[in-house]
Amino acid sequence: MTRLLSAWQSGDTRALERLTPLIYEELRNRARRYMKRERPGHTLQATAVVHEAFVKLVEMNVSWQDRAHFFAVAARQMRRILVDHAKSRFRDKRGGTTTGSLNDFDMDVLDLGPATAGDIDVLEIDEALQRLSGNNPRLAEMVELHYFGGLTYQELSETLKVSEATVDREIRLAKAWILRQIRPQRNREPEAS
Amino acid sequence: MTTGQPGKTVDDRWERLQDLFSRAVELPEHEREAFIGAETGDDKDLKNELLELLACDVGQSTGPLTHALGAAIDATTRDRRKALVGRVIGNYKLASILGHGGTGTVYLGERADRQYSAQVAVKIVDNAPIHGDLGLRFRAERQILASLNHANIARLLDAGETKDGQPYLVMEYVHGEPVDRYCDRQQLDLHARLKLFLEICNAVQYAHQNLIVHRDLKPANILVTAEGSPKLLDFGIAKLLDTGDAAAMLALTRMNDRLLTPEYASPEQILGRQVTTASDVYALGVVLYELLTGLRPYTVPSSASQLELERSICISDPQRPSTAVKKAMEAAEAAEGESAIAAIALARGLQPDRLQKRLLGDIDAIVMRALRKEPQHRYGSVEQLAADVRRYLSAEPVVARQGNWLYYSQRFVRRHAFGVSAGAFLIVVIVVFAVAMSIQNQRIAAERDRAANESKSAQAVSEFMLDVFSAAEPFKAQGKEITARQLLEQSGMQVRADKGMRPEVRARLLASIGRAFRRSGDPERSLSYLEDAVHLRRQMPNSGGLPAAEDMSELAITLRALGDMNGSARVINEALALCDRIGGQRTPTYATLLTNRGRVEFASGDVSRSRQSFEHALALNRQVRGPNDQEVAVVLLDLSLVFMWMDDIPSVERVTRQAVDIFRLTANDLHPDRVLAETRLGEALLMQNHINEAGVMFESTLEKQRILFGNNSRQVAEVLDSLSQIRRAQGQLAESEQFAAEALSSAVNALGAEHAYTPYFRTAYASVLMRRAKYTEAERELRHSLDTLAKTRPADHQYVCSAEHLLGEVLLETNRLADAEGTLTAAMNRWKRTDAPAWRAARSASALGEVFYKQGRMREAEQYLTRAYTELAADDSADRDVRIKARQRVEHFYIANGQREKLNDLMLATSGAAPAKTPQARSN
Repeated sequence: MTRLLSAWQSGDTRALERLTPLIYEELRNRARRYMKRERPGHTLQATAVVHEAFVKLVEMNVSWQDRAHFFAVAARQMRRILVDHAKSRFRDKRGGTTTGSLNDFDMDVLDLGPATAGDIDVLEIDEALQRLSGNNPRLAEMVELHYFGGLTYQELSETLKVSEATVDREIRLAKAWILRQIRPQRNREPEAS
Repeated sequence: MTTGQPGKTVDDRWERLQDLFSRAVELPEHEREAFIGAETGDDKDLKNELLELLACDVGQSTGPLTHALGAAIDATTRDRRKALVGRVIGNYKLASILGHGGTGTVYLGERADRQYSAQVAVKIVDNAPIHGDLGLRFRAERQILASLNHANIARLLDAGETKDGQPYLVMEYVHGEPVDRYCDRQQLDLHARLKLFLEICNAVQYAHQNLIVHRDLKPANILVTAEGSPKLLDFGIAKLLDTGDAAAMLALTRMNDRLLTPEYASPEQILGRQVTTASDVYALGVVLYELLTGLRPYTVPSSASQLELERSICISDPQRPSTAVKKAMEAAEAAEGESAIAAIALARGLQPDRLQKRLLGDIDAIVMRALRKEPQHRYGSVEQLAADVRRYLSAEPVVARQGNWLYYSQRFVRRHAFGVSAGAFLIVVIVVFAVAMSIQNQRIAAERDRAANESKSAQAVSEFMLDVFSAAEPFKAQGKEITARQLLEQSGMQVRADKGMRPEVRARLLASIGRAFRRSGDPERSLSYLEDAVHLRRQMPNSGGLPAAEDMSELAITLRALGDMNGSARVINEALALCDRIGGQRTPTYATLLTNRGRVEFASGDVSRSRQSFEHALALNRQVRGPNDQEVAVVLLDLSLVFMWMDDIPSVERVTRQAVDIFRLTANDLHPDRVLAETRLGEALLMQNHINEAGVMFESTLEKQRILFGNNSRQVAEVLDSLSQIRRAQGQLAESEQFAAEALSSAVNALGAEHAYTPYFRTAYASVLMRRAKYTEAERELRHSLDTLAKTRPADHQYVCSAEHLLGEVLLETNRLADAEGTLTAAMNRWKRTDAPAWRAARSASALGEVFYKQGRMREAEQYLTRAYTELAADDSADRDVRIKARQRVEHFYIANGQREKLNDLMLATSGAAPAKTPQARSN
């Protein structure tokens, strides 16, 4: 996996060029459905976004060294898109150039649930993930693949060549570790998803 | 990977952390701290870290991280959509985003001139250039909406395209709230809810009478205004019915499945089966369920995937409304605390147990009847559902309570057999829609007093189709899978047996079935239905009018598909004459007839006539159907074939690009005509020697063609043929031969060995065989081609010329010089009588010169060889290989005769004539 990521970092730029618009595209589609969701507790998953992008690339006959490589690149790209956007929003707010207010949305379609004080920002996740990477890079990669690349435990187990039980164990710890980084002072109640 | 690398203290520590954490979370919460304390001993840091981590443990749930990610994704996409806010579309300024439908984003629009304060909803298709198929849906929606005029259906006010080419609709802005919320906020009792539901049924029933199925009914699409009147929104999916085109239908259906809200989708929608008015009955059942109980018929754990929900919709029986309420009461008791069901009941002015009792019996039965898995076991129409609700309200016995026992005992048996091939349904769907649409069109045209009568015949047709569908029930077919053709055959027999059917209806059905047969690749079967339809039409007043011309057009296409060019031409001329007589020259039908006349002319070798027909059809289509209509693109493709034969390849590329542009605007990736257009563009590139570019194009379209048409199809044969040419140009002759052989076998299997078009592939194959010096096989194929052509084509057809010329070359190569002379002379003269460019005759002349040379007739040889080469060298469009071959022959001739000066003179003369760019133009 590390090798794959470094292969990407060493500049598979054409692959990225093709991937980014697709992920955006799927983000839009998925978000639209997400907005329409009518069952409480359903959350938009990166899974679907990245998987759809993968399917499209396969349809477009773009060759990837392998699936694992694709998902590594996609996860990293997804993370970058979300973080960049969060940062630019942050900048906009400071510069006083916010483009619109949340009230643009009808409550019918935008029902993210109550915005409690406990809500986390993607920037916080990103920072925590960077710190985790300093401690345990392999685990950080696993988390990235899972949350931003949408790989299931089973897929993680196949990709990283470890048992599913190990994946489950390690991600559980990683989740707690990240949450602790973000709000060390708070006692978290388990939250259903 | 870093695990297992020894000596890293960080890793060691992390491993220990992992180990203890994993063991601790397995323990009951109160034992964890003690466990940690015992295990960590003196290591306070580790202990504290572990305790903090355990405090942050969220178990297996993805919880807050996923939620954060969802919010981030949402924020990322939201800003991109805001871009349009503030812009002016039509006469309206977009003030804010109202929401997102399956097809686009809906904005609140205000009159830009502010003369009066009108608010509208403006729906804009997102990303139309990327989703060509959405654009198509959008246009269909526009037409459907415009034809609906009902107080409870949101009105269409305007439609158009933004500057960026995004289609938009301006609709009545409905200020209201979703029906479920409205009912709860108003605390409507069951009686009032049922009354409101009846109004909703009314509106849906109106749409059904117009043969429009909503397909996506749900509370979010049913708003209630402040005055308490319901309004149906978003016929976004209903517009599907507006197309009779099979491929578009397939693609749209697939897309719709993805956009569907699964909670309200019927089993047939989830399974991708055909959707009828019964699907709306089902969705109304879900809406009613929810309005009455505040619950959904299918409850799956919130962690379940959409797939699980879909499975349960298709497989398990829903809980009766009263049972669902009872279960909710039990759950509430167990949980103590505040109960959701109490709030639900309160919003209906009842206690939970009272609510449960009110639902028990009649309402259970009504809702469950609407929610049955099999469309034909639900209420036959929305009207019947409404009638039962009215019966309940007036305390009459409801129909739904009859026959339930039998139903559920049979269901058990049938549950596992709920499968008829989707293909079968799709074909029949084509018939239904074709019929529905023709009737709908006529409805619009007909006078008001005829409308009632027409609606009766529409109903007759629907009932007939329902019969056909129910015949497709697995248990009636004794376990055998019914195919589309069996189903069509069955429909045909029923139509023919039904003596009471009005001729109008009968003709429509016959024509639809005939067309469906042809589209399913069976023109033989198609023929008798279309002939019968035309025969019926001819006996009607006004010789059947425009509908007769339409059916004749279909008949002509079938005749052409069967290779009967004369018959096809005759029928087309009859139809054109009919149109002329009744003043139907400026109609889409007339344009279609012209197109088909052009095709017959083209197939008969009359290229210049066919060009006129196509150009006429093109102009007329642009006028009556619009410049970006798919029919325009289709005719452009026909025209491209004409140019192809005239060897005017830049024109081929030009018109094909126009066609591709239209299709990219209006059709999805796998739209057959779009694939065809892209393939032809590949051909144009190939002809202009952009070999590699063309090769890439064909390789990608080959797969699409195989998906669309199967391996044994003319389309696949054509792509294979192109690939064979490309490989040949790339010098890969073995592969080229393989492709050519596959192309021929595909054509033979698809069309028949003796079909008029098959010789093309046979000749192409022979020409590759010649390249590989397999003269015996080449000769056999060429003679076979010429035999077939003698039976199927005019004597001076270009296919004949090609095959004859190549046979002459084979004879030359194998030293049967007298035969070669005769054959090549015939080919040369034949070429001169066709529309083909002069270099083709020159090619034969060059070969003939070679024959003379071998025969020792030097004067004639010199004359033929030099003339042919001069002509080929001067013609920019001539095939490169042909030119080279002719040149080699001249060179060989002069060198063998020791006349190098003459050769130099000739080369000098021709180099002036030949364009200087020749060498690099071939560099590909």
